[in-house]
Amino acid sequence: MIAIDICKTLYGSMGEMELNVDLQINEGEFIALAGESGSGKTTLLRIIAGLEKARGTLKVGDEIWMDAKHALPPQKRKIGFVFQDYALFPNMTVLQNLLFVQKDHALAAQLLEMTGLDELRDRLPATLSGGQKQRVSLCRAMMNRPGILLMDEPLSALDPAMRTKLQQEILTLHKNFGTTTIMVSHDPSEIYRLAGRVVMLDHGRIIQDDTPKKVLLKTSGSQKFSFEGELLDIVQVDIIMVAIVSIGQQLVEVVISPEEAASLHIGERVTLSTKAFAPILSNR
Amino acid sequence: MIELEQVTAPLILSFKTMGVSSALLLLIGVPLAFLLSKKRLRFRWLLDTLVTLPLVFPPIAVGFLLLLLLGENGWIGGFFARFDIRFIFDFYGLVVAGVIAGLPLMVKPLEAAIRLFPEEIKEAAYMSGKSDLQTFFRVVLPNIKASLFAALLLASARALGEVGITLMLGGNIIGKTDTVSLAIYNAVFDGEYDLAMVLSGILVVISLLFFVMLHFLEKKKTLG
Repeated sequence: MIAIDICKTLYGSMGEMELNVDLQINEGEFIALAGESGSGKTTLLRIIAGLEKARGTLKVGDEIWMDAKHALPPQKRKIGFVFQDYALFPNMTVLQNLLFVQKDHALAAQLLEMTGLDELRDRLPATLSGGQKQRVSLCRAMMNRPGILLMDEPLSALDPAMRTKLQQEILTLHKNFGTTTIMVSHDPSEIYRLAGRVVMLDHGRIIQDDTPKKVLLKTSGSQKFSFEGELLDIVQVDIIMVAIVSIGQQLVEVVISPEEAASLHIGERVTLSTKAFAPILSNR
Repeated sequence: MIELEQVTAPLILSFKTMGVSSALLLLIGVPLAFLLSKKRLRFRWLLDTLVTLPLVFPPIAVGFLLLLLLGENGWIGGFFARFDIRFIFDFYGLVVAGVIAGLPLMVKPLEAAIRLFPEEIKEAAYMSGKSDLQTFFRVVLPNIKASLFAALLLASARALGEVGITLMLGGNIIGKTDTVSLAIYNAVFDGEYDLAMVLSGILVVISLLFFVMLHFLEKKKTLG
């Protein structure tokens, strides 16, 4: 059980902000930290890791990691941390990056095997692709058999296909090691696939804390489709108007009325929804 | 007619001085740069001033102050004299001169390189359970090797060409403390222009060599 009750004043791009989080996490949970950028997600992660100071208390099991009097240094917290930009040691090969944490050859071999990095073990980080680098970073974070795994938007720099692949690997690792995991993520599908619980932060406070289904599925049960997207263009075809909307990685055309066209602006975020019909799912 | 020894003796002396100075620069300069790269170090300004001073202070004046300090009646000189180590008019004096003159050129660029090293990679080492010192020696330093060697090269070149402090501490004793630079001065003073020309020529070649190596290291720095 991890008990977090912390407070910190942040000076961000939007002025002063109070980060105030009271959160209990059970062992083995996979938590996604969501929220707009600047809401304090990364700072919360760094406070748990001991990389940043804060007021309040932090208790992990029977150990006190932080209270008014002292703070346990990050080296002693046995935490695995996956950085957004990988942060691999450039002077070491893949294997050396792992062994730097702990001279545990068996574990290193197991992790490299699980993530398909076996053949790249003697390569330097500079010669790897983004996806490969993040895999190494993930393996490295698991090398000290951490009690908590923290990930700061680990997949945001990767392309969609690579993201899906790595999500699977993160899930496999989580199932194999049962590590309590906290991941910062913006991607709803990623959160849905991986996390058992979503904590939504806004301006330094928790505004939602529930299952991904409850937090993310805005249309549950009403037989209604609703997508958010960006309006790219409005074109006139004969007498009708067609709006082109980008949803996720896909572009769709929607017929709209001239009145609707007048009220929409190109470049703005729009919601595309339809009601009362039975959608058909098929294989590609 | 130039005798071979007139050329080789100062050269060997200079190289010996540079070699020992370089080793000391590495030994003293790296920890100093590490300390100075910490923004929250107490008395950082004092340490920074002491290291940087020889860069702006006239060498002859530095030499004079060191003469007072390192003489047998000086604070430091008195202490070392008990172990029969003397700096004034001795080889050790030349080494001290080289190290003092080279230190700012060694420490300042290295300090900058340490500061520019990505914070995140250091944090990754902390999360791997490594202390600040372990992180410095096993992660930071190996990754700024090119900067380290460039700084050492620059500092060594400065130590090789040192004249002012060397003159004050070493005393320009022919056959004992006349480094190449001083030997050139002596040769000109005695009207032996041929000897001065040969020695100067050798220094030019060595400097060019240093320059080429520096250029090579700079290229490596931008690549890595």
